[in-house]
Amino acid sequence: MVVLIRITTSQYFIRRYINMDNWTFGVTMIVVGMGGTLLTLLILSLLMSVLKKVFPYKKEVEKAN
Amino acid sequence: MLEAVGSGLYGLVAGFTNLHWSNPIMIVVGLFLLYLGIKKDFEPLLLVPIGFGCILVNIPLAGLMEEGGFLKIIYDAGVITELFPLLIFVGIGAMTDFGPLLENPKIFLLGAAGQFGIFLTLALALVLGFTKLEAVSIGIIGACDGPTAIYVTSKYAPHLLGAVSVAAYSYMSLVPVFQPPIMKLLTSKKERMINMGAVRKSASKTTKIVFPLIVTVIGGLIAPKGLPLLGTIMLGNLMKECGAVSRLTKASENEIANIVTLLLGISIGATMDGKVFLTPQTLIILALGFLAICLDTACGVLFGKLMNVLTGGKINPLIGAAGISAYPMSARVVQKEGQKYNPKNYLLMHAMGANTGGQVGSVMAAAVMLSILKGMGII
Repeated sequence: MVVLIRITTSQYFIRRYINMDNWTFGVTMIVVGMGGTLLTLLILSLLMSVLKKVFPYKKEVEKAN
Repeated sequence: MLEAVGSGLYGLVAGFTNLHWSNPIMIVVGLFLLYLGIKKDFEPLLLVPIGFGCILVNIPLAGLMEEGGFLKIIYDAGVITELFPLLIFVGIGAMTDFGPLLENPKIFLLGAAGQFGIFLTLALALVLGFTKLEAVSIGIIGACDGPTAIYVTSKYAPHLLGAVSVAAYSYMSLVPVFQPPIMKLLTSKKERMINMGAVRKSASKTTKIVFPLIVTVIGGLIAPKGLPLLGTIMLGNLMKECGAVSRLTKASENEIANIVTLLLGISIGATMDGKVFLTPQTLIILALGFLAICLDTACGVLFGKLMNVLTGGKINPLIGAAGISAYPMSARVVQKEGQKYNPKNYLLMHAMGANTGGQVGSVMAAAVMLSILKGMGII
């Protein structure tokens, strides 16, 4: 049932957007594209900050390596 | 007998008689690319094979890009299958040190801002009448990242591959020429003089090893359509950072990257057949590509200004210009410009952080774009 709903939903999206006009397409790409890229890199930068806290830099260990 | 001699002689002049008006022009274009690569040192590793490929394909009757022709075989094997740009990405990952970025993770955001030109140019290309997928391929020139541009274009607008890849690589090499005026225009002297201090080493080896894994998994989950790009660059980086497979790392950054660069360059040059390349559309693509990279620089610097305000004046906005993917040229440009206004200013490592952020950012922007297209059912 869940699979059926998913397939139906994706079919609906494909039917709805495949012939969208250029204006809608351009605005969507700008908003979702720029927002998506910024959000992804924000998430990654936050994860990197966490990573640095979880695995802190130790001068001695690095030297030994 | 005379007839046979005549036919034989015709065979020797057939190349000349079948010359299309566009072929000599493209041979000159090929020679110009060779000049840029050899004499001016503009991305010679790519412009030399591209220029030579361009000359080869514009000599009529050789059939190099017809079925069975050697350039066609290389093109089908590596460009159509997207194998070449992906193999180059393994090499780029193996050559890139994400250390400066890991020292100051918030600089990652400059790598996102440095990609905004992609989307703005995409919209402009749509206004100028290009189809949706053509506009995507033109916008991606703004990634300032040759393999990404080739990957996307070969998949969704292969007829534009020659123009897009020539634009991407030649503009990458022109970064030192067009970035400084934009940086100067958008920043005040006071901002350009901001000293960001020294970059302290604060990322452990474990962090550097886990970083490519996290980027692959999180980035791949957000934008699965771009996983081949993201995965290959991060595989190369993981091999470099873990230190356990130094033979593979060396092969990726030397032998594999060199062989693939040669094959990729010559097959891109082979797409520059005058009959299909010399159109007004090509000139528009070159102009839009230039605009895309200028917009990227402008957006990066403006975002740098915003970060400068939000951090209470700790960020020099010039490093925003390094948020594009032209590594390490744009970081060097930032260092040079920063020192012009404050000789004691060493922005290089900060700019390197933004620059490597731009590398991930350009791949991520392409991945996001492809995933949006997939989500909308366009691809």
